[in-house]
Amino acid sequence: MISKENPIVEFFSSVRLAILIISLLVVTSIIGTILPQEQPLGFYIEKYGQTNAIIMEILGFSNTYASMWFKTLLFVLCLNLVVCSLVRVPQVLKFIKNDNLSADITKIKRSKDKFLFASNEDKQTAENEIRSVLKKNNWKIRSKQNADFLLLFAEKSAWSRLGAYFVHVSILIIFLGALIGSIFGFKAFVMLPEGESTADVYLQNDEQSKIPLPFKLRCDSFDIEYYENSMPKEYRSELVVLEENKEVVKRQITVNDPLSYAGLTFYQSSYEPMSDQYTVELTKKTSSKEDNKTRMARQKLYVEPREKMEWKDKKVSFEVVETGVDGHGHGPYTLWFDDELGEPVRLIAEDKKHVTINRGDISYTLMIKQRYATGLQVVKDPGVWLVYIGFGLMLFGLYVAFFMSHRRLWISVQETGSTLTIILSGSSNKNQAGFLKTLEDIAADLLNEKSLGLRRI
Amino acid sequence: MNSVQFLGYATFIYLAATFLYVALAIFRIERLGLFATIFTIIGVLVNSIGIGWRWVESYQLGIGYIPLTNMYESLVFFAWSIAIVYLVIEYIYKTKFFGSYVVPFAFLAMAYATFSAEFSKDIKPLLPALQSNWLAAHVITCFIGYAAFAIACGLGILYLIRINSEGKGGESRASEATKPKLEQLDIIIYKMIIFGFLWLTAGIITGAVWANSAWGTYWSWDPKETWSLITWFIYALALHARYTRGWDGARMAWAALVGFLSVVFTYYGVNFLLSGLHSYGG
Repeated sequence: MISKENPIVEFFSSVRLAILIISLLVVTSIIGTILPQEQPLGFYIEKYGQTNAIIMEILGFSNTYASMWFKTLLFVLCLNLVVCSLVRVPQVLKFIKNDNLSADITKIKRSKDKFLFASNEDKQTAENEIRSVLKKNNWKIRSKQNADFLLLFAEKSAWSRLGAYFVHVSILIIFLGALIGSIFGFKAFVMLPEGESTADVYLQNDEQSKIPLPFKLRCDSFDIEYYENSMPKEYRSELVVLEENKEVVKRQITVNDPLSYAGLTFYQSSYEPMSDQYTVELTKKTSSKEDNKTRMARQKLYVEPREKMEWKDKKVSFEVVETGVDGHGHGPYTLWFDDELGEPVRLIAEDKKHVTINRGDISYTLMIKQRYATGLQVVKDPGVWLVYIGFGLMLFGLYVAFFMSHRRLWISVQETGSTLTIILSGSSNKNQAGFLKTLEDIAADLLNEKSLGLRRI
Repeated sequence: MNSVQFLGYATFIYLAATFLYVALAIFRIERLGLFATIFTIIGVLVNSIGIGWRWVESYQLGIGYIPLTNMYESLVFFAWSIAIVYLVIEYIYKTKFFGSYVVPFAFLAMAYATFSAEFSKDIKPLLPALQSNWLAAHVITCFIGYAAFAIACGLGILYLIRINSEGKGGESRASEATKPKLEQLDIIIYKMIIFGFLWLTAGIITGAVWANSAWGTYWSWDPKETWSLITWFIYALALHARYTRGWDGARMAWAALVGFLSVVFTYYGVNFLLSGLHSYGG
């Protein structure tokens, strides 16, 4: 066991150190929110002057929360929590395990909050009845026969004395989870054009280094949905996971609904319209008079303006001649269309609107829109589950530390002549006022127990 | 009439309740206290109906989200939380002597929501990032915490005024009469702080879990996050100082004051003075 006598141990277990470190974290965190973070040196020179900017850079205030000394502060806080727990938890455990039966009668008689009763029953009946009353209210009971009196001890929630340590341990667990995440995980990004697939993502640091994926990821489509007031309502990507070119997962993701696969999570993070690129959806509908059935064929093509495209086996070719009078390239589009059944046609199509070309029994539907690339945040975080466990434990620990208390009762039963004198006393490590109410309730319960035959004295 | 106008009435009801509590503190007529409580209850009812009404309006507009999504709506909910928590402690402690230091906070939040021109009161559809079930959990937990801290601050001010006037008056009889009240105040301040601390912790945690489900990062040192942590640290410091060096009374009252300043900066200052992920909060 770690001895508190050792001055180094004492220093690292002290609340004084905790208060110092937390105060330093407060001050430096405030500075970090006031000074703009992670800007290039030039930005700081322009804003604060050369000397100040260089001092800031050296002291790490341009990236406060990642700086060595900030991490050191967090480390010392952890050390403080570890040493403090190692020193104090054994003491608390010892206290919890204490049988509390060594109290002598004078101490009970002297206690401030007590109730005195007398009874004409014999000692054994009294003990049994008191036990059954306490048991009904879930008290843990022990007893000891002393020379001149019987002592009953009962307690509740002794373990709640550990509440604060649950909170301290939860902080350590959260830090451990964060550490595991930062060592074994990564945060990467990929800009994936509609219709394309990738087997690599790119780290979000200065080096932009490539990380290979153990599978392929394809984006089938990206869409933005708008509200009537033209605010964006939803960003949506259709993603497909390919293992050895076989589709294993096909799923739509939105901002609050990512895709998780093989320890990686893909978040809808941004998007980009691809300049001079369009998505065309072509549908060919053939109505057959013989069996009264309609056959459909669909094709999605990515096109550039003034480039002739062919849907080979359907013998169709078309070209986007003009991308828009609006000047932004978003329609109305002028299209040229040809199949082998009639004369080529020129037609006008609105952005995202279907246009139909009838060729006797065959009809074609055509839809043209901007081609996008979807921006995916790719995260591997093998430590996040630990962080969540830490969160849960922290809330539980705070509840226990603040709102639960270790309540203890001492009841002495003493024979004086033919009557019994019974003293009920108790204490709580928190909320003594609330505990008095409990004590009164117990006194009332004991008085109501007919077979005990108690009377207040 | 719409919900914004209706919620405007709550402002005046809270103002009336404030006057009644102040009058009670000055004239010490018991009946005034009864009226003060009744007005606060009516204020909460109007406030609740207003929130419910706004919720219905949001559905009628085809948006359909709990009204906790912008500065206006959060202020309305803040006022509501303060009034509710106050009524609960008034009921538990069976005393009204501190009402005049708490109910004004509900009035001020409501008045700021109603009369400020800095932010829009329109029901707007939600940006994709805000469309999550975590939104309600995050905002509700945070604001219950903030409400408790606001009450602790109000009581802290009362505590400091009491000991200050005692120091000047020097009448021993007056101080004997107020001493149990000071002790009770200290206990309520402490309880409001631990209650708020638990909810603030839950608020930070729900925010972190939400951030992780939307962006894949549970903590990114965004100014709002950082300030919520600073606030958490400040109250944690106060609690440790109370447990280990017996900080109570005036020092705890000061801690409640400083803590609440940090809350106000986290809630309000960050939105307008610093930029970051929560910029849509305005």
